[in-house]
Amino acid sequence: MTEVPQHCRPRSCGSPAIVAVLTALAIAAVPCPVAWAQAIDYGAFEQLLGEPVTASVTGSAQRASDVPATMEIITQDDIRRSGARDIPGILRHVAGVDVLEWANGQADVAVRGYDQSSSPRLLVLIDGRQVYGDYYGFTPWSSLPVELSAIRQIEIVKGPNSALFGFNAVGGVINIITYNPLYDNVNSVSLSGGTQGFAQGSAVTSFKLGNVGGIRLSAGGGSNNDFSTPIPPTTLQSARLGDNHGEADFDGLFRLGHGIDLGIEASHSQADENGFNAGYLFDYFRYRTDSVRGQINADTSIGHLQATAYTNWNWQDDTPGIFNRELRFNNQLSVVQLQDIFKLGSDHTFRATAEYRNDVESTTPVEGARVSYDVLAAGGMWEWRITPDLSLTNAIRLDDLQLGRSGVTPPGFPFTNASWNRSYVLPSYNSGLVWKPGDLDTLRLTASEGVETPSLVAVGAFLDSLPNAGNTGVPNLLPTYVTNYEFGWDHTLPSLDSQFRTSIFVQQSTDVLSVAGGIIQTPTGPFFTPTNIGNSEAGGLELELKGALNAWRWGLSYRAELVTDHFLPFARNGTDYVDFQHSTPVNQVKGNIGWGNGPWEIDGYFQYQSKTFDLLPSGITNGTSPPTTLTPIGGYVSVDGRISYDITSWAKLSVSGQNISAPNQLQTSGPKVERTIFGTVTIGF
Amino acid sequence: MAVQQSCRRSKTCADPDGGRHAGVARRRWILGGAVALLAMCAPIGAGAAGDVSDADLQAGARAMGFLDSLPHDGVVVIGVVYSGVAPDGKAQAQQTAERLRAIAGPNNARFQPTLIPVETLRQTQDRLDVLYLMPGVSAFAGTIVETARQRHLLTISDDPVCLETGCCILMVRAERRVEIVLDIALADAVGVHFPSVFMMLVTRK
Repeated sequence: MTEVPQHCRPRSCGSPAIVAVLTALAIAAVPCPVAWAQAIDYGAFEQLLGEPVTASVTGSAQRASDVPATMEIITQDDIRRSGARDIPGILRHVAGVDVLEWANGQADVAVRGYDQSSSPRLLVLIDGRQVYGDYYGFTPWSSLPVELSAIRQIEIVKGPNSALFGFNAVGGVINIITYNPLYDNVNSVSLSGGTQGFAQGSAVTSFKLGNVGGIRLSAGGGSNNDFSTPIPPTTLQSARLGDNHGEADFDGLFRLGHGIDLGIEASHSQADENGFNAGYLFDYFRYRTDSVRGQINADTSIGHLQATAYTNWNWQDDTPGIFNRELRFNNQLSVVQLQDIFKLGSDHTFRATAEYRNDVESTTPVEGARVSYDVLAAGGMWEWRITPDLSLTNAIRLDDLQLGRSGVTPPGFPFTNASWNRSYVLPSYNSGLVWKPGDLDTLRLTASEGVETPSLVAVGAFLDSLPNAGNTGVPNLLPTYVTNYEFGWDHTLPSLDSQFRTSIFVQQSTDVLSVAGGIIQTPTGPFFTPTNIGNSEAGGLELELKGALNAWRWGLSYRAELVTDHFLPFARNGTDYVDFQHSTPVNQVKGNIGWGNGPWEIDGYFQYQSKTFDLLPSGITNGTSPPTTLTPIGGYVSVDGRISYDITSWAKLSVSGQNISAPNQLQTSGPKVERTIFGTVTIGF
Repeated sequence: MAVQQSCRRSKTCADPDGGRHAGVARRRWILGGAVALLAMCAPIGAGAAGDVSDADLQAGARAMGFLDSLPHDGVVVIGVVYSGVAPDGKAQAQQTAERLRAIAGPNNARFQPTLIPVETLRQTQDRLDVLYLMPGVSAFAGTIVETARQRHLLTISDDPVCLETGCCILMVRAERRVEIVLDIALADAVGVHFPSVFMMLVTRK
């Protein structure tokens, strides 16, 4: 155990200067005469350029092959042919992505290892709106308000990208881009049923309002039973209950006039599921989310202006929670963003951003207080096209984060509300040099640093007070900085209609956070707290070859990664809820082959990962023994597949399977995953 | 000019500057060398001389879809401008017009091509929405730009020479990777507008 660090990292100590920068940006964003309405028409640009476009790396629309980062783009075609029923099921086929499937519907996803229960290192967004739950430091995938058939593409940026998206984009970013209601027509209904009592329905429709706008409506829901494989005894807290989810989304895009688009989006979702909590304990979770968002895009004489405002409401209940005390999280996140993208001359593109966010969370299980932070952020990006074949992109961002707390404090609590009057300035950067020596090759050299802030739970929303001891989040945790250096090379092989990609990366994480390990002695007993436990380093190599030939499509990828943790003694070897060195597979191989001809599509996928160790609660709660231990996970190969047949031009029948190579298989420290098979009827209209 | 164009389009041609600027090479001693090189690449180059590929035209049509001022009646009248004095100039323009008729126009419109010798472009009074510039018309850059400016017409070509002579607003080629170059100054002068997202994605001259 260690004392909670009470100091502030030098570069994290606050400065109000950021306010001046924000003011300047706000002035610069005063509306000017507009020229042409626009929001990115991904479909039209993809048709024009013969490749997907993305704005997820620099904020400015770019060809996928031009971005100064390593990224993967999963198209709707890939989604359909994956046979997956949820987004983690799609992502598990992607090179370099790690998915831990804890239960039949609950999973944690990470990029380039560093996966864990309630994985906090991956920022997930839907059309730029954060759906990553920074109140808890994880993504509740089952509660995302999006139907798979409403997704145009899923963009996966590997490595830190905080300079664009802000904190928590440290391991990577997943931006889920849905079809544009103004430009795209999407109309489909699907019904699925299969093993483990799986039943699911989904519907998406879009329609135009003359020339003034378009609306997309989507809704879905489903239920299933959890796996029936045994739950490890030391993790068992809750009896299994049924999983179910439902979600609905409204997305409208309207032309306000000649030059301005207004986007309005509202969503609701709810999901109940079995799964692991951040302490590797098997709980039953209930999620409810609501969101509203407005966005204005305008072409003006000073560039492409974008103003976005949204609020997310998140409710989460964990049963039985901790010491049989139910945890009820109540979170509200409000964000206002301003952005201007403009070009100077033919070779320089700039992006200036300003952002305000307010995040509030009620304490639980002891109620009556709220923990919050307010953030003012400013950022800039400069893309310099040095020659037609060489470009340099630099981006920086400063987040000025002010913590706060109000409400009651329990007896013996080692802090006052004033202890939360702290501010942090969180810098981040991305820099990338892209060289295209010919039509067939792209070389990338990138350096980036991102910052992961402690969740609101970790900084105080988690609060429990028992007669002789307590648990609490603390205000003085340090953010985790992740620094990444990378070299990448893409080479097109026209004769095989394929592409070879490779990248080499080194990464360092400083001040890694753990949900436990700190202790504060008080006259009434100790308070156990989260704490920073040390640093971690990683180095890796990724190789990927994928292509298509006539009716065939195929892909093969390999990742080698070595992680070394430098944790404090009490947290070494998986003894304090976090271990990246042993839990990140050294070798990961993924492959797929697919065939499509006429009405038929047949696809198969495999994933191999070498032996790892995963974390399990030790089951010993005497306060002196380590709370978690490592348990071995043997190397394994899992296989997924899908067969589809077009019954008519508007009806499709498919059968999909996940983990079909064995009735059940140990993939995590949780229950073994079971083979799942389901059929789907899809009607397009 | 036709000799230079054939070299430009042939990947087997050993033009030292990659064939992209063959039209600029007017000095006699270079022309002599170019003729000699043409002899080497003639079997491939001659057949493709002045030929605009389907891929180029399709990419060009899609790029037109981003144009603010495109007509909304489902028809895009596109003037295929060619050099009346260049050997095969009219034949190549006719071939291009046929291809334009066969492909989908921007935003599901259909193309209605009309052949226009560049020498008579200024006198043309019929409806025109876009000008497609065939190789060999760059010598009439002044005429083309003046016509485009008067009638607010997008000028588009797959010929990089037209960028150098300043007579095409868009150069669109789709050989291996779609290449789009936008002449911002000319677009502004002519009064042709594209959305900023489009301008972010293309190369700006």
